[in-house]
Amino acid sequence: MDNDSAVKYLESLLNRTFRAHTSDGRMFLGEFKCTDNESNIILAKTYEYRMPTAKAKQDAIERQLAGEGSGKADMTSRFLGLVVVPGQHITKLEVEERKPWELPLRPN
Amino acid sequence: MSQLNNGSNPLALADSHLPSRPNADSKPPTSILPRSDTKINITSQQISAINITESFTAAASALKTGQLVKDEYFTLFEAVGALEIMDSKMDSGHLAPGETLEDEYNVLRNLLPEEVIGIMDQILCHEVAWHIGHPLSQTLFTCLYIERLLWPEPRTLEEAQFSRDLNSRSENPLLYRVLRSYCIATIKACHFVHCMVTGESYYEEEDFTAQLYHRELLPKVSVAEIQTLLDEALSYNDTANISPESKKAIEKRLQFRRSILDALEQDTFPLNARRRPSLSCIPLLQDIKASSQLGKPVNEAFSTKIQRTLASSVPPRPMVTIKLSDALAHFETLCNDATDVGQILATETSEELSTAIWVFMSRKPQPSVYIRALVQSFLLERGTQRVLGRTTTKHFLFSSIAAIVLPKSPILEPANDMVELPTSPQFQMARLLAEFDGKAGQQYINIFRNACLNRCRTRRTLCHLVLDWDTLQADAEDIDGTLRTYTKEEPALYASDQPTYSYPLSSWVYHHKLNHLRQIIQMGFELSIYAPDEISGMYWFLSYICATHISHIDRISFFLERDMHAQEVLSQNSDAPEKSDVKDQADYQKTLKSLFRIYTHLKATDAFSKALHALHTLLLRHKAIAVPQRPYSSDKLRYELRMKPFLSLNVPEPVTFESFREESSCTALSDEEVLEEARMRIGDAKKFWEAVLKAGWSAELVDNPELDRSSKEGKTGTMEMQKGSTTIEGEWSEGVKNVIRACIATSISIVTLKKKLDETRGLEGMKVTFPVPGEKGCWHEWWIVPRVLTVC
Repeated sequence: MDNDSAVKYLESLLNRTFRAHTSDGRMFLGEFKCTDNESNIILAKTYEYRMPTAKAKQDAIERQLAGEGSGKADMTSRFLGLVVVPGQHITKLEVEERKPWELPLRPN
Repeated sequence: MSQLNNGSNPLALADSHLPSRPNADSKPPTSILPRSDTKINITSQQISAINITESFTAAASALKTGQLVKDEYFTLFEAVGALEIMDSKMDSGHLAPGETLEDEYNVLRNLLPEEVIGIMDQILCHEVAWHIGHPLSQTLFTCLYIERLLWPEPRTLEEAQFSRDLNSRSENPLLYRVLRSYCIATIKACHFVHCMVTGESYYEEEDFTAQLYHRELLPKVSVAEIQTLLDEALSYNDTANISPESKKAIEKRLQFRRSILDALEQDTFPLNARRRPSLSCIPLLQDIKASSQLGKPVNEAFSTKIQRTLASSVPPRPMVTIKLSDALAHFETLCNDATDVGQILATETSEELSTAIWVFMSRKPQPSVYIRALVQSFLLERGTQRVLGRTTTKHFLFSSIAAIVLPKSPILEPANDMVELPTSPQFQMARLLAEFDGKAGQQYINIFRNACLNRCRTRRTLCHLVLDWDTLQADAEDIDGTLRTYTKEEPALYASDQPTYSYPLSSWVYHHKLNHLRQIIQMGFELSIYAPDEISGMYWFLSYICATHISHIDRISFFLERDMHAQEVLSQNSDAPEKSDVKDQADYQKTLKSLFRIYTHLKATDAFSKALHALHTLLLRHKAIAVPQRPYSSDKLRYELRMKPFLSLNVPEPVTFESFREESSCTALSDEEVLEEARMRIGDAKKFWEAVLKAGWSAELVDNPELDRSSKEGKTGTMEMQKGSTTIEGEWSEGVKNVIRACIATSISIVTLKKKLDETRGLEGMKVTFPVPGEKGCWHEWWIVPRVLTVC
């Protein structure tokens, strides 16, 4: 990819909502503001999502076995604000897309 | 499936938990997959996510080194504040290898009575650390017991439990009755402090950190419910099978919670519905101190790991620990200060109120941010919008104007407001006064509120306020001019050949503006703003402001006396002198006396600053004050910087650098003359300050010393004065006495210098020190007196 089209592509993503997954299993959800050639990204208004702890998962499974729950455990989230996620720690990057209200839902 | 919205509403999201599904649906529980294989399932009907990992990485790597793609409104300046994820110093959520997110500590374990006492005292220390400005995330919220009570957010008091799971609830009453009620009462106390402080002016991180990290401090739980919990805990404690010492220690701690909660709740009631402040907390604090040895601290119950789950944009920070003795001392000061606030409330005139607030807020250490917010809440009561819960701001303003410039005038006649005929002069005067109130009313209250800020902010805000008062003065002059068409005031000759008018409203404004200017300079000494070699110049400037103020007071007195005599002549000419005429004369006399008090105080300040100016100038001449090398600045630039608050004013006219240099360096005078000037001025200063002391802190006392003093004593008597707490009046006198002591210290330095100069014409062998505020030898923080010692 040449520099011009790379810039064009990245600029088209600015201010979109990103989900950046990091190597320690967390996910950061925020507005994409800035990046550089190492894929370090700056997200604004970011929330951190964390996988349920081992204990919470175990509890969920036990509850399900006891016939009390669905076996789901909630992720925990908290507001962080402005963050920079270093490119080296990003395992997966997603951009959110909001479907227009009018369109009928397509099957995924 | 819960819907994932995109973060526009933080509160909504903090509550919504994304579901993730361990593969328990399809797999037998024996083969639970390791964490990395757990499937995250985030779906929504409206939002889908597209994986762009590869395309993004490819595009980013096509950028040149140093090239950025960024939103045009996003600045690199902002970027500096971004938290770096996965950096253990910045990212509070980062886990070291092998580290777990949650603490291992079991909050449901059985506790020994000694451990309960220890935890209670640790909580108290954290609470005070928060009071004095540290964030909750480094103090109270590090307590795992408190965390359990507050998260997930309890909807009712019943839900605030160490464990919400009914099966695993502790049966140990020490835990679920005693410690729980103590924690809940602490949280509620913090709620009241938080509401009081954030409801008034304060400075985030300077005074207080209000951040709650999306937690709530049981705002909806009533105090009565909590008092019931505490009572239950107390009655359990009575019968509990524990050692008598521990029993007593726990009892005192629970009672302290009860009493402080009650006191804090009282402060939220309307002023007229409050009980008299109670000092019952103070003996309990001493009991807590006495039994603190019994407690066994449980450090594992406090952890900074909590910061990982708090909504916060700050890096991880260490826990703040303060000593229990300091924490108890803080509460004791808080209780005493809260009681003394009653004396501010009991003041009657705006002059008294102003003196009382200044004395109270000048206490060292300054009253805590809670107390300062409490005083602000009195000044303008939130519900009623009344000053001290008694008068409207308009009445408060007008009574201050009456007390200084217009004791008796048709302008301030309350009946004017009743006139509805637009052609009537009364109607027009009422309209103009309402206009003035619109401009000055809030500004006037702001003077008092400003004194309740922290000391640095008080001075800084004064520098801004003074510009507003400059504008206000110009507006007031216009209003004065229009008012004259209705009062038909005759011009008089004052201090020049040109006839002039009294300008009552703008005179009042100017008086306050000059007060501000004087306070700005004097607080500069208190806050050690001036370099040692600047002090001489600043005292010169202080005396310049005082001299300007003295002539302004003289002008006001001149027009008052004129009006008084006119009134006298009028009543003598009338056939039957009325009772009201006698009262009018008394009102004039009272105002003239007030002006004389102000005059005396200004004369005292003026003489002392002239003496110190001369003394510091002489020491500068003889190089006894070190002047640092300043290669990048000039005297003129520094002067402009120092005079920034004053140079843009219309009146008093700014002093140019050239005349400042000439006047303040006394080049025309010999050493002997300068020293003689200092000697004479300091003699005057001491006399004037003694007169200030004699006149007392309140004008009311001067009018009728016998009666007033006894009624004042009666008042303070009902306020349950007790040992250790002082009256504001006493502090005021002590302050003036300290100024007199500073005068004496100055005289001694002058005499020592004179002797030395007479002998050797130089200062060799002399040691000169300048004790700054807070150091031994500094009698009063507004007066920097050099100490001159002969070194043998």
